[in-house]
Amino acid sequence: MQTALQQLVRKGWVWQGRDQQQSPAQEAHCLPSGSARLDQLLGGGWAPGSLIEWQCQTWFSTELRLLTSLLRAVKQQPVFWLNPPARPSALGLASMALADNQHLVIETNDSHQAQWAFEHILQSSRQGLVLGWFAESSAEAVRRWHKSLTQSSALAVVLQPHQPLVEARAFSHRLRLWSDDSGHWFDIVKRRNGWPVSQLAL
Amino acid sequence: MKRQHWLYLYLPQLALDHGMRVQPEWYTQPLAYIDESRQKILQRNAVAKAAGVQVGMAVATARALIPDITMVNYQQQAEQRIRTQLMAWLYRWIDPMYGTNDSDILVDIDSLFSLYHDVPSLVALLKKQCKKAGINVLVGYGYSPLVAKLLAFNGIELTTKDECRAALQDLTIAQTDLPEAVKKRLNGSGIKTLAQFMQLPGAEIGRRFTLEVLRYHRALHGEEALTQAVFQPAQQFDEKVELLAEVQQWQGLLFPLKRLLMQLSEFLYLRQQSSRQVLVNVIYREQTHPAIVVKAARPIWRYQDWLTLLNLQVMEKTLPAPALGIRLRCHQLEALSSESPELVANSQQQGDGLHDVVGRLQARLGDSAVWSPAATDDPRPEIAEYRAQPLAQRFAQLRRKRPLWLLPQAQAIDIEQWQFIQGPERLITGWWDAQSVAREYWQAKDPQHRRAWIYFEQGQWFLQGWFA
Repeated sequence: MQTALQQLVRKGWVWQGRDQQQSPAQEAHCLPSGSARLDQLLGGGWAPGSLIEWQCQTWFSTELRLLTSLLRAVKQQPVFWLNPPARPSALGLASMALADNQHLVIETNDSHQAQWAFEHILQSSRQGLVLGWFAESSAEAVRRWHKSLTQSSALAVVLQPHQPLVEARAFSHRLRLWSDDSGHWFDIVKRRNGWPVSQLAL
Repeated sequence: MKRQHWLYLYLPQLALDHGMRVQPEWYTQPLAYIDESRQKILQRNAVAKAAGVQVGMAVATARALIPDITMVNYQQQAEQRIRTQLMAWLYRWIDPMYGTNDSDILVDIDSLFSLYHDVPSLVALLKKQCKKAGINVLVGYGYSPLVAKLLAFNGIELTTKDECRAALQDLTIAQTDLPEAVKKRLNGSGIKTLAQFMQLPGAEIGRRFTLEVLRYHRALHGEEALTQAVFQPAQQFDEKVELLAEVQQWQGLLFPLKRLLMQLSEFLYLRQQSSRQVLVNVIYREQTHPAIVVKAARPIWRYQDWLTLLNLQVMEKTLPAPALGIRLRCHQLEALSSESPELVANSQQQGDGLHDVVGRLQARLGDSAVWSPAATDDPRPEIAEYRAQPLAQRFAQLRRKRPLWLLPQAQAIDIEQWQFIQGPERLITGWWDAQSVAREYWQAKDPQHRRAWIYFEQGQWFLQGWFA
């Protein structure tokens, strides 16, 4: 049985300052981001029970590289799609070999209801991937989502447009994604075990 | 075979007991059930009794004693419905039983001696269960239904045949439930006790009184033919609660609704059934509104689950008018599966938890707000793709690469700004119906370097989806 401290370490909530790398045991639980460089910076990948923010320049672009990797990593687990910008296609999912997951799409025009739904899913899901597309998210909402994840091993990703000002939020990791003629790029605005990093190729 | 052991469950204030159980505030305020046509008190609670209100007292007298007494019109039909609920509750311990015209319960216990060793243990069990249900009861035992009834009516609770015979002999004619006119005639003839009445020869009674009195006489001697049907538990749940005062907000309805849902829970558990749907009707003075349909994503039976779903559905609603009562119905029952989460040790298993999450999301956001992607084998993407019931996803056999995202409707695009990557894939199909297509599909990049699925049809380029 794991001690409370071991559980916190496994979830990545304890910053082990001696080294930015996570232990092999911790890394084994992490989900790959799809980029070796990003995995290294995150300390092995996305830790289960994390609340992540991806700020996107535009939909269907850079974030899909990260999303594809995550979807492939959460095999046979539920995937929640809250207010996606288009319809997830059954044929598309099958062609990506993602038919083993249980996909649930939740749609609501009311932003208040969407925040409630996201929180409710985080409270109730023990595992899997929870994706939520929002125009913006308040500090209060993010704090509540973060709290809802405390007992869960699910991974939650909030996808938003680029935010003009980067205000403090209770996300574990915050990434800013964009693309130009030379490729796809990301900034790490916030991460658990290190300083922000700018302009890395994805 | 002649049945020789009967129990009569006399429920002197069933409507009142039930009302107080559903609305506990009734315990602390003076309350009486009245016969509106005769303006008499029929049942009253302890507060009213302490202030001097008696059963049989005129309504005006009771009002003079307690001006702010709450009076509820007694309805026998409603009381008999409550009796049926009680019988359904007792059905797990006793059978056969019968509902009487007085809203009481008669139990044939001849066949129960193999389960319960003697009458006292059976009586103790029934009293305990009635107490649990919040119902006051007097249990009369007798060698015939009428004997058990007379003893129960007079508060004589005995458990052996000899004691019963002796007690019966001691009863006066006034203590029986014979019609008043018959009682007078018997008194006029010098017959004051039941012992005297029982000693009269049947032939003489037949000659001097009506057939009804003769039947009564025979019943006292154990010769009684029951006309009621044996109780069978209902197969559908349909219960109603009338409120003491008008309720303006949903919050005020939640407590009585919880009681109703607890009854439903009991109802389902006793039958080892569950359901995916209940109907809640709020009763208003004049308006009628459609029932609120509470749906669950999987069959459930626990009241806590129903209450959660109902709360999610009504928490942001307002009542259109003051509510007078609530009705709860559950008609579509399913057998409680051995794989139901309540029956396995770990109810937090992922699969079942997921159904619960779906149910709660649907209750709050609406049925159509939650779905799973699914597709048929039709080659036309707009027709193949559909929104399936949550967790009922279906993936058709795949022949070609398809995009992860589909736009709700294809958008016309200016192809000048796009860069072709792969194609074409010709799709000429649908000749058998009115939605035939003749398209050339391409994978292409837009100016933001996003990989898209586009097609050319009838002189125009369209964007249909995006690849991951």
